[in-house]
Parts: sequence; C-alpha cells; structure tokens
Amino acid sequence: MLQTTNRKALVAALTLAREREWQLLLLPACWSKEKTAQSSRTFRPIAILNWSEPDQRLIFAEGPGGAEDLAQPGIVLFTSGTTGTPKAVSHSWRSITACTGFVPERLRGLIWYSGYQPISFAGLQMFFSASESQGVFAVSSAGSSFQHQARHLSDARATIVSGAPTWWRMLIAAWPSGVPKPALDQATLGGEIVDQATLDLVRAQFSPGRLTHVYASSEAGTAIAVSDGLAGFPCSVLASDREVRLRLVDGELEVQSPYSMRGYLGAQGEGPLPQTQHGSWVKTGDLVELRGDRHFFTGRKDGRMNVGGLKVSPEEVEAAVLDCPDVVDCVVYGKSSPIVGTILCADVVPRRPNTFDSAAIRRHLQSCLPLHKVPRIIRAIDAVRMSAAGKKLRIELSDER
Amino acid sequence: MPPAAEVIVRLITAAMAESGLPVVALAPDTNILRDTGLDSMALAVLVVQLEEELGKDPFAEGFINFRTIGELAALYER
Repeated sequence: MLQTTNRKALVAALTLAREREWQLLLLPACWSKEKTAQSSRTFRPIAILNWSEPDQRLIFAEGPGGAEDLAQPGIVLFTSGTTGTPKAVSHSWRSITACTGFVPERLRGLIWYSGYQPISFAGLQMFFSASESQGVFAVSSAGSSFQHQARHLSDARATIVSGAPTWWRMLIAAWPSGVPKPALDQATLGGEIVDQATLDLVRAQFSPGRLTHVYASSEAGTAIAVSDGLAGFPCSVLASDREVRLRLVDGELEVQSPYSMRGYLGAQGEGPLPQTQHGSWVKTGDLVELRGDRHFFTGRKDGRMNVGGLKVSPEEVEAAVLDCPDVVDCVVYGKSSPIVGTILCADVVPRRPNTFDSAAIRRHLQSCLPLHKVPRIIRAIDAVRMSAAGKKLRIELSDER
Repeated sequence: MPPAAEVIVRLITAAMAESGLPVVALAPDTNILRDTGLDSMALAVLVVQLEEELGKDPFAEGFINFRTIGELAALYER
C-alpha cells in the first residue's frame, strides 16, 4: 500500500494501472475505512486508489483480485444513486480515455489546469487528455481557495482550463488584482447546466481561442461538446450519423455511445454483475426542452437536483428533516442561483410556531447527511402545498422569485 | 455607506459568525471572497437573503461579476 500526499504518485498510479490493464477502483474521498474494505470485498479489484480528504493523502492499495471473470480491466467510479446508495460505474480503459482522441493537433504539448478533482469522471478526462497529448496536468489540492487556484493556474502558465460553471464564476470573482489573467487556448465548462451569462463572462475574461461546453456523465461518457459560444445545443447533435447517438424519449436525453460505461457493478451488494451492455442506450435522467432552434437542459426527470455537481434527492433530505423533533412536515427543493447553480432549501412546518429553530434543524442534518445534502436555507411555513394528486409542489417553489 | 451596503455588511457578519469564521471588520472596499473566508455557497445564500430584504434580484438574467461589498451594493442601488 502506498500512502502519499504527493500528486505525482497519482499520476504514477493511474499510468501504471492503465499500462498493466488492471481493474482500478476509484473511491470517493469521503469514504470510511469500513466502506472501503467492504467495496474491496464486493468488487475484488486488482488495485484501489483513494484520495483521503481530511489529511490530503493519496492511498494506492492492492486489491484482493482473484475474481478474474469479474475484474474487467478499466476503472470503477462511484456516482451518487437516487436513494443515496452510490452506484459503481465500470469503464473500460478505452472508454475512459476516449476523450484523448479528440484533442486537436494545435493543443499538443500545452499545460492543462483542472477545476475538477482528479478522482472524478471529468478530472480523469482532463488527466488522460493532458498526458496523451504530451501536455502537463495541473490541479490544486481539494479545498484550495479560489485565490490560490487563480495564482496556481497563472503561475503554471496553463492555457487549457476546464471546470464547472460555478467554479468559473468563483475563480473570476476571486481573481487577485495583481495576478495577470492568461489568454487561454481552450476554456471548457461542464458538470452543471451551462448558461449564457457564464459563457459570456468566461469569454470576456480569458478570450479563449475556443470556448466549449460539454455534457457528460460518469455513465454516458462525454456525449455533447458545443463550441459555438451559445448555451444549449443545436438540433444537429441529434443527427443519427454521429458516433455518439442521442435521442429524446419523453423529454429525457438518452445516449448510445462507444464511450459510455460498460455497466453498473454489484447492484444492492448482490455481487458484481454488469447490468447493462456496453453500447446500449443509457437513460441519462436529464430533461431537455426545445426553445427556438436549440435544446436546453432543464433539470432531472427524477426530481433530483444538481448541487455543486453532486446529485441530491429531495425525498432523502425530507426524510432526514422529518426525523427532527418539533417538525411536522417539510418540503425540500432547489432554488436556482446565479452563483452556484442550485441552492438547497427546506420549508419546514414546526409543531408550534414558537418551536421553530433553524439552527437546531441544521445541526441535526449535519449529523446525519453529507454536507452538500444539508439545506442552506431553512424557513418556517404554515403548511406544505400539495398538488391535486397529493404530491408536494416542489417545482413551483423553485420557480418562485 | 449606502443602505444596500449596510444590509450586506450585516448579513456577511452574521454569515461569518454562523460559519465559525473569524469576524473581520467590513468596509465598502472589502473583497468578499478574499477577505471574509466565505465560500461560494455562502455567497449564494447571501444573494437570496438580499433579494428577500431589498426586494430586488440584480442576477435575474445571470451572474454579474463583483468583488467588493461596494460593487455588490451598487448592483442593488441601480
């Protein structure tokens, strides 16, 4: 087992695993030792890579291996499932590194800066693209301030920069006045819904040679990349002659791609069995709406929200709020924010008007939910509004301005 | 200080206290992200609170860049 704070080790570990065609398990930073051990037993990978958040250590460990039929070469990543149980997404080395084939010749040998942590689908895409194009990969430690990231990006002389819209807005707002802003060869936005104001802001601040926004998910791979500087995507990406095929079913985007995942591993701990065949249609759960001649993403089919790039199910948070003493009912919803995309809000019906204590509710939620699932705004209301069918009215709340 | 800036100072002071950050003295030229320790999510919450208190959302059409308390206040004074 290798434990190190040196990011060069991450590069070495990823490169080695790819060369040897291992099955590598990438664990979310916040996982406990017990959870790590359990996944290792369930999935029996050849190697495990884990970034430990509190002490900023990279842990590279040998897995139990041995299950040859199950240990397909590639990378296993975890995404947040609907019920909060993470799903294990299995990629072949070919699909996870497919992005490297799309780096144009003029972007070879350049310096890449990633606004995504390296142990994420988007971060891996950046890493492999940089290494495959003889470039340099730079990323700041998790939790670095935006001032620090701005200095790092500038000092590294990075000219290819990629991050989520929230990350770009914060980077620009926090940019220290003494640090020169580099003119970029390529600026890329992804991971959240990309709006026109943020595209315009990135263009005005960094005059990128090419400004691209990308739609990708751990499951579907990179499905759409648009470089015309406009939000949404043109109808032409739905054409049937593309390598990555897209279709809309009841407003939901589905993707069929040679770069999508091999399948999910080990549903419900029943042992590692791929659930879907590589190359079949992947239901993304993302809803799309046609406005004029372009399609725009509007949200999730299952009502889950994207909070800072992480999926949150309102039902799961509501269940935790209802566990609080003095709470009779509640509704959890996302309010759209120009700064972070979505702010999680909870409207709470207290047992008696004078028992409402938002700080106590927040403390309770912090003790039982990961931080991104704790509502940032908690308010008292008289009653939860219901639809005629008896469903909580979340969409109307999130649209209220 | 214009009224919007006063509201901003009050809300940021409360947010720093709530996040357990050292409460620093605030002025119109305070750079919000650099000097207060607040993160993007706290800033997003601040904008919601400002909309409730001042009855205005200058970001309705999208993000506008700002750094200091004075620059943020100016968006509400327009």
